[in-house]
Amino acid sequence: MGWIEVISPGLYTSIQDMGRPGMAYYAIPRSGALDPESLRRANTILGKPADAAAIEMTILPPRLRFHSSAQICISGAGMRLTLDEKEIAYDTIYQLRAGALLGGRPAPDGGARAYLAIPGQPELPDHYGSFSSSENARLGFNQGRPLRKGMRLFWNEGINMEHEERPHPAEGMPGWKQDSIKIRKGPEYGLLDDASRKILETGVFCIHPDSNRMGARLTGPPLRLTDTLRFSVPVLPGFVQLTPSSQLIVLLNEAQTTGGYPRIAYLTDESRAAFAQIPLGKKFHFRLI
Amino acid sequence: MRIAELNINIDIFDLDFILLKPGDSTSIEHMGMAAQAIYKQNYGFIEDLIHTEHEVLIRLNSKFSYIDIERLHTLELDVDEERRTIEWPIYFDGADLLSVCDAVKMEKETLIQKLSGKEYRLAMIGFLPGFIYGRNLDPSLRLPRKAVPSKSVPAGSFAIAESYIGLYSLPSPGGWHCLGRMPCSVLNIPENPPVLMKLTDRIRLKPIDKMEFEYYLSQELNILDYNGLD
Repeated sequence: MGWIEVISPGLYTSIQDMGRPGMAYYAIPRSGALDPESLRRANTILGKPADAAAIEMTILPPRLRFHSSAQICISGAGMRLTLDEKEIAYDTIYQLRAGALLGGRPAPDGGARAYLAIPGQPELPDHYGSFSSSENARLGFNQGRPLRKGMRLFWNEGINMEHEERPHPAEGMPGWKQDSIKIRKGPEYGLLDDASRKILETGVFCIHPDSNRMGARLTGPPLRLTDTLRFSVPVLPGFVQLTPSSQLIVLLNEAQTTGGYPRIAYLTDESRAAFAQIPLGKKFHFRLI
Repeated sequence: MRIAELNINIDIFDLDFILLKPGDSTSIEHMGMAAQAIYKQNYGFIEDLIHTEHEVLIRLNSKFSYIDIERLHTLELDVDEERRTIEWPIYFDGADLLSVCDAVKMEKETLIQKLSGKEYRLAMIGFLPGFIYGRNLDPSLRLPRKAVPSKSVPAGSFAIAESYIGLYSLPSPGGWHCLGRMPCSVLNIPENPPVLMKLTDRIRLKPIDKMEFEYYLSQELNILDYNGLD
């Protein structure tokens, strides 16, 4: 069994796998990696099941000391990572000695989230089939809350895989290089006035800092409705709500499962992964498909 | 009775999700029964199902094909299934009790009697884990949500807003008017099922005093234990 010590927690670091689908009936959020493509890539390169748990890092990476040797792979974007103060590459297997220190700093233009894959599994109970942290449901490591300084993550080492250290090219085009996010018409798309339908497709939006794993608040041109919703409706991660402030919210994996704001659009699965890599303040637009 | 006979409308959004909405003759109760029945079937093509009174959302996965809509249409519901009545013991000491009494112009005892004098059908489970909505609060007790929500409402808080009664199982910010607390838990995380109330349940409130409240709290009973149910 290996363990990792949190020297500094980073902006928002938590254990995520592919989450717990099927539990929204009980208002338990799906949780899971916001950029599942990068999670899967890190795991696959390391020879692990694609959906295995990894450490999700957001914008500012944590400083982690590995108290046992390990092989790791990091995939994603948005931060420059170092091992014992030397910069390392994404999508590459590194062999760490016991005592190695992982750290880094934000590279905000590149993206927002990266996934650190380690052999084996976290030494944690899984809940409803997942190790993912959920703050709202108080599930996962540290009752679902992000890592804090001084905490210890215990990981069972699993099978030590024999790999040469060589980089694997990322499959396909990294989502975060795209600046258009594909959406489909939501159940309340019809409530948008004509001008707002145009604005949805032509407007320039960016993610406001007051965003988290529950949802990303967008700033952009105001959008208007011809009518309101009279009652609460179900919502899923990826739904785009229009709030009374005329601004949009893109719901993410920790979102509440019901809400009263009109769902004017929703992100495709593919665009949810791309969206998770849009840096704060970076301009993007939507493309209705 | 089959879902098709309840006049529930089925709208499909690409291959991403389905929305069930009530038709002209569909009751809110039927929506709850349909949601519960579909969820219990554990269909392989459903990734998630979320129920609200007026709409049920079914997130589809890659196994879905159009023939599955037929399967939903023909699913049998046991409309005569016995509904449980679940008693909620409430100690009426909430932070908003007196302001609500003022707003509805009632004495505390009258308010409590009015609240406890009827059964409430469970309306929804959600928005957060362990939050339970009950339907049809007496019209004389209906108030809009608080203009300034509380930053933190204690776990087990019983509250009202608009036409609903509600239970906050976990501490959270809250815009509803807190009237009391329930010492028995409805949330059963990390067990399965995580929530011990069902969409077909009815709720009855039983006022209890401080001693009873503290006793039940110390016993760490869940709501089914308290009601003598499995």
